[in-house]
Amino acid sequence: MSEEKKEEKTEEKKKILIIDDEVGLRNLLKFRLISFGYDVMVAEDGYAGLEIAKAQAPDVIVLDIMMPYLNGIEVCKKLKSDLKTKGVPIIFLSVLAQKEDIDAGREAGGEFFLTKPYDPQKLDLLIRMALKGERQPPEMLEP
Amino acid sequence: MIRSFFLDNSDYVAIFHGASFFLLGVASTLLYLRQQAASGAGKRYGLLFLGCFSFFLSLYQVMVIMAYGLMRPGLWHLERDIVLVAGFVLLFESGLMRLRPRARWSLNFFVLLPLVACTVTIGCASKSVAVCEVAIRQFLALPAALLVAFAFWKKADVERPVFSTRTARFVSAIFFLYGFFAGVIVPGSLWGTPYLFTEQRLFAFLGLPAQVLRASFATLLACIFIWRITRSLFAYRASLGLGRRPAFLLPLSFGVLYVAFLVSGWQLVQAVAVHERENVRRLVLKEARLYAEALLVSSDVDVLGLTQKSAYPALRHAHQRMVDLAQQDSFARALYLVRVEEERSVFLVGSRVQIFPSLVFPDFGAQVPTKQILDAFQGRQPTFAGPYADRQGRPFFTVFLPLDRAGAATLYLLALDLDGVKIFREIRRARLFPLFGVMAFLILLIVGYGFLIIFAVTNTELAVQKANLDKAVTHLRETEAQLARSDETFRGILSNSPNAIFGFDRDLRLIFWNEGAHRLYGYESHEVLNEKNPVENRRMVDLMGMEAYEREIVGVFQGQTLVREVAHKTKSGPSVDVVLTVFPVKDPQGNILFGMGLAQDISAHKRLEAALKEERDRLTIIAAHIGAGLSLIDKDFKILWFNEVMQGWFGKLETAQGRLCFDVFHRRQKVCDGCPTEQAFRTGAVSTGVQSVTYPDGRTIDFSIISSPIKDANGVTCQVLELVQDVTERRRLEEEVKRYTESLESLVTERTAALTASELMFRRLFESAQDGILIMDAENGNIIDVNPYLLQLLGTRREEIQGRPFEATRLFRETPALRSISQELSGRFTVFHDDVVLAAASGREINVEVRASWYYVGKRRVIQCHLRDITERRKLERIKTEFVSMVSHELRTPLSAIKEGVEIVADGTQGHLSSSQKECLEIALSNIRRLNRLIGDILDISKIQSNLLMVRRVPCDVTEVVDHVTHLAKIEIEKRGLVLETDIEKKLPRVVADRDRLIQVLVNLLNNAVKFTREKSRIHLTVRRTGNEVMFAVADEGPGIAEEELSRLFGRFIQLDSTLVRRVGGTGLGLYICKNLVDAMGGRIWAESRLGVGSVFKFVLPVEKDASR
Repeated sequence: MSEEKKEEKTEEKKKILIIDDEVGLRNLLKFRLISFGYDVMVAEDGYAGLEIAKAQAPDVIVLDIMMPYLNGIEVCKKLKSDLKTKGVPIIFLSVLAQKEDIDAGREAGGEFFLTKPYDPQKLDLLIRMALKGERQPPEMLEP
Repeated sequence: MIRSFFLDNSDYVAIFHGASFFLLGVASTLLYLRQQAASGAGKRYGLLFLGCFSFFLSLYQVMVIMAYGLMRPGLWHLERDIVLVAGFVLLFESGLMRLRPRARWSLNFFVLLPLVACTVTIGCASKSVAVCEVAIRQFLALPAALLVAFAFWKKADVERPVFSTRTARFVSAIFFLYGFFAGVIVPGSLWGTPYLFTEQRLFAFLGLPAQVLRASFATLLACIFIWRITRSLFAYRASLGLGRRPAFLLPLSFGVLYVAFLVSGWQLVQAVAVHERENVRRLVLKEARLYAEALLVSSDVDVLGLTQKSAYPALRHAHQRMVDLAQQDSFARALYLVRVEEERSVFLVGSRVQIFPSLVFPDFGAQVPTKQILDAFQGRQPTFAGPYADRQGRPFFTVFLPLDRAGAATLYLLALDLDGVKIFREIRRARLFPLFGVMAFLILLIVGYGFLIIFAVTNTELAVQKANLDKAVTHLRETEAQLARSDETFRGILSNSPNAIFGFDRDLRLIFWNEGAHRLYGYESHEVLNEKNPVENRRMVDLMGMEAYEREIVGVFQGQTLVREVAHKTKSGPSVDVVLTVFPVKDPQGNILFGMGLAQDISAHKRLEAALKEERDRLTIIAAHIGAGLSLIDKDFKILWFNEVMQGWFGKLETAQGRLCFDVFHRRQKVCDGCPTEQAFRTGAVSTGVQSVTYPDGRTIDFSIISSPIKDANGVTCQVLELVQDVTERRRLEEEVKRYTESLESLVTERTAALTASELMFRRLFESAQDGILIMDAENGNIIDVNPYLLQLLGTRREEIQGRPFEATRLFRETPALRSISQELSGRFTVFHDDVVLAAASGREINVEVRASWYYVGKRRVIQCHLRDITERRKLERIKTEFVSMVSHELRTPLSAIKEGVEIVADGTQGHLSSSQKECLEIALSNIRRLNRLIGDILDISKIQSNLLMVRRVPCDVTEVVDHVTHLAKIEIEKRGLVLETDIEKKLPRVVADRDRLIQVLVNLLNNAVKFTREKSRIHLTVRRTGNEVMFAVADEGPGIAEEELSRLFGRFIQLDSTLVRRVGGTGLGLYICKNLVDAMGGRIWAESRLGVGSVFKFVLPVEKDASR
């Protein structure tokens, strides 16, 4: 595993942390978010993500669920229980689209949920909402 | 001598008759007076009548002697006979006074009156009073005498009779005989009156004239009466202790009187007769001389010189002269001259001349009075001859007067026929004065004697009575003392009597009021009686409210007693029912002093009566309506009573009562065999039996009899009550039932065998089923039965579950779905749960699906649950779902990368793209989307199949969704050269749906439309509100769908035309998923189509509830 260093940009660019084990999508997403104008950090598994979240203090975390070693739900819980990362809004992004998955995510503390494949516009909207501190309205839970 | 004495001179007979009757009269009167004295107020006028009658008769007889010839012969006989009859009738009447007036008058009317009538008619018819008289005498006197005889006979039975029975009967016999002779036998016919019986024969038979007999009877009666008086006086004196002397005086005096009467009468008669004869003689002689002178003087013929040879003219002259003389109204009827020649009488010329001259026949007939003629001729004295009866039967006398010349020998006798009737009349006229004298004397005698007797009798009676009175006074003093004592007792009784007793006078004013009356009526004695002024006493009728009965109460003072049930007023108001007895209180003489009333309170009694009557009526109604026969039999098997039902079978109670029961019911002569009544009498216990009765018309009725003995105080059975029921029908039915039962039994045996076999089969089914079957009681939740499969599944033993309540079993208790089954089943027939988790005894969890239903086993409602182990199925499902899920996720993961990669380039964020580059990428993107949808479809299908499809139901903004979809779809549609037309209602309400799913459905329908519509055609999208729903319609202009295909459209894997498959593509899952989704969102989806025109797919979704538009 290659370690990726988060690039901090102290200008008003918001920092988004992407935690996803699939490299292809991770990179594409990164491109997408950069095109949106955010600073993007990536982590390839839960543990790495946790470290980066603690160290780098992103504004929004985009979190995949199906990951090895530590799945997204656990990561979310850990993030929410940690003082440093508690206030960071989390957007779940996963292939899992069942109600129980959504509920599990909510329970874990995740504020937003989006299923893959996602509508980029929707993602953009959610990030903006997250940054504002809004919550996801229920009808927008699926693409 | 006696014969001549009586026969030749009827006067003697008359005297005897008169004396006898006189005696009888006296005797009867005395007897009557004696009776009056003895018995006080008596109305026995019989004897008085007899006395008067007898007196009259005796007077009459005397009159007969004296006034003979003065009256027309038959008439005074008639009067006598009438009196005779009347006398008899009166006697009879008096004797029969005991009879009721009606009986008496009936006798008079029916017996005597017809006789009188026929008598009178006979008499009038023959125009002869004499005949009438005879008829009366014969037709009435006899019956009259018979009646008197009858009366005396009847009187013999009277209490305190005048005579003893024998004597009375004897008297009655004498009366009978008297009447017989009076009526049947008639005394001497001297005057030629016709009689029905002539006396010659009877006189020849009897030898004595009837009058003598009659007189004898009268004497006999008189003697009997006198003897009776003597006896009573005798006895009376004996009781008083006086001497015998006064007793003898009476009969002695009677005897003297009688003899005196007879003797003096006879003497009188004799004297009178002699006197009469002398008178008559003188009279007649005077007359004769006159005649003789007339004859001798006047004639111009020498009558005395006439002989038989004299010349005819002289004779004729003499004859004429005699005729002239005879025609003078005097005694002489005829004159003629008589000469005596040589001891022979020669009748010369006379007034009656038949053949002149010597054939002058006087009317002597054979009885020429030669002696008198000779005597006259020789003795030169006139003589009499007669009486004779002439040819007409009239009596005449003849006087022979010697005619001579001065002192010469008698030449002729002048014979004068003197009219006897006129002579007799003269005689009787001559008798008048003496007659009256005698009668007066007799009357005086009778009256005087009567008074004497009365005086004597009453004198002695008075003396006797005085002695009685003295005795009575002492007696009275004693009784007074007794009375005073008893008065006190009486008062005590009256006062203490519990009944109300009161006395009242003739004005109905109360004079006595006892304590009982006070209690009953509420008035005290002083309120009712006013001692100072008795006139103020209350009237009992007013006090008690009995005005209606006043008249009847007054009748008490006539000797009546009144007993009535009345309601009396009381002081305090309520009326009381009493039995009132009102009676007169008399003194020993029978005079009514005052009235007494006794009132018994019967209110309680009446109430009891009413209760009893009610009870009796009730019993009667019960007996009548009991629906079975009841009869009461006594120990002699006689029927005492039976009710109406029995009467319907055996006839009226009146005809059967008292007859033997086996006779009336069975027409047998002795007690029936096996008779339960007989058993009841014998054993004293209730017995039952069945008897058949065959009626004469052939009907047979079977009766069931229950005989209950009724025992008296000593425990002996005296009567039996039978309860009788007609069991004919029942028996017939019983027979039928027995037959049916027999056939049924065989049937039942068959069925039971079949049932047992079937039960066995089902039992085996139950035992060997490969599903769990649980049967429990619906009411109390007890487990009735569990099959082995379930036991095995749960890992328990039968004993732990069976019989115990559902709740008590831990296994079930912890399964909420099973707990609620009873409740759910109360409303529905079956309940199905497919997600129940049971915990086995081992702790293992078992997924079961439960299907429960209820039904009745007999009266018990049971619930039967089938539990199917679906653990495996669930596992499989889970595996499948997980697999599908995993597969779709696995598919989606690379897909999302692909999509993002393409998109990121297509967006131009990685550098500008030429239009052709963009187009290529767009193609890629659209396919990526299509692929994504497909994966989603697969996932949906999988969920649908596992019943795991979940949709959200939240309000969605329809307009926004439709805009979104149209926006997306337009591009695709226009790419293909088709037109999308939309018709979306403004201001659509929000619907309850899942937004993404709604989009999915709309997209699917639109895609289908695109797939199936013709090239270059239009696709319409219409969205409208319809009531509580919003309708979405997607219409195409495709080939259309046949009607029969429309319903199949929404099934799985359906595509209509396989040829189109290749052109169109698609899995055929779209509509199936759409249907499921729309249904899950609470809507409906359907299709309408016309072949060749196109199709419309419509679905509706419910409007948000509180959207009020």
